[in-house]
Amino acid sequence: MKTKETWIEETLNSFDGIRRATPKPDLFPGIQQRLGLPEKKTIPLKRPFYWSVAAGIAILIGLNIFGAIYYHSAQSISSQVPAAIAKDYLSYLGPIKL
Amino acid sequence: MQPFIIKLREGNEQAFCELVDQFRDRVYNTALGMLQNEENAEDVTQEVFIEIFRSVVGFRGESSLSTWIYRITVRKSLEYIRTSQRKKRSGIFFSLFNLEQQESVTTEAPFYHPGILLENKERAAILFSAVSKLPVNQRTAFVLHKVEGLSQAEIAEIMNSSVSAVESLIVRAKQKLRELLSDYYDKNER
Repeated sequence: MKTKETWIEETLNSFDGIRRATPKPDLFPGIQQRLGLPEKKTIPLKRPFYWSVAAGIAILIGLNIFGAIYYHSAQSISSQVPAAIAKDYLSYLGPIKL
Repeated sequence: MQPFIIKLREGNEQAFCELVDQFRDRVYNTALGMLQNEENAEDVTQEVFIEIFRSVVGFRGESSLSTWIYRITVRKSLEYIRTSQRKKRSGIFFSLFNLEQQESVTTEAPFYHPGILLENKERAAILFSAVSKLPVNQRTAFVLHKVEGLSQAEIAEIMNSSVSAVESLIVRAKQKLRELLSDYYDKNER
């Protein structure tokens, strides 16, 4: 009957003569397939505070440009209105009889 | 720098294929020794070669190619172990509050390395179980030495350590394993 110490030593040496394990044959195709996928990279924003300030300024500029365009187009419409109203009024009155 | 490494850095697929052929068994066997699960070892092996492909351009040749590859393999294996341990801990935490499923923590199924001699299979499974309980550095040194068959000098390079430090790790690993095996014997073999 083996002693405890003998059993422990034999167990400790049970890796002796071990041969390297080999992976399945589809290893390389699996790697190729995964490499074929586009790598999803998240690009970390450095200094997010400055980026948010820049975004805020860009939005303000954009709103101002939009506002200016709207204002100018509104002005050109409003200058045409009195002439249009006058024309309608005169045509309503009819020709002036002397 | 060797022409083979230059081709790898240029993204030459043929060179990469040769690299996989040359190192696949070493990477897989190391991962298998660390993780003790064939499916997980295959996952890690793929991860290792994908990282090699993507980062070989940064390989400066300060260490040998094999040392570099073993380092990536060990790192990926340890990352896998840490992730699994985190998942296990959260699983145990949630199971404590689940009154319907009163399952105890499952004991790991024995791991049979395919390269172990037949007459040693059962003992090796017990030893692998004990190895999984070693501290990370001792486990790494022991697996690289006894499963992968590397010399202490090679292991020192991989672990960025000295030969004496690796020797100490292996000695301490064996001491710890003797304690664990002694407990096992007292519970199961008497």
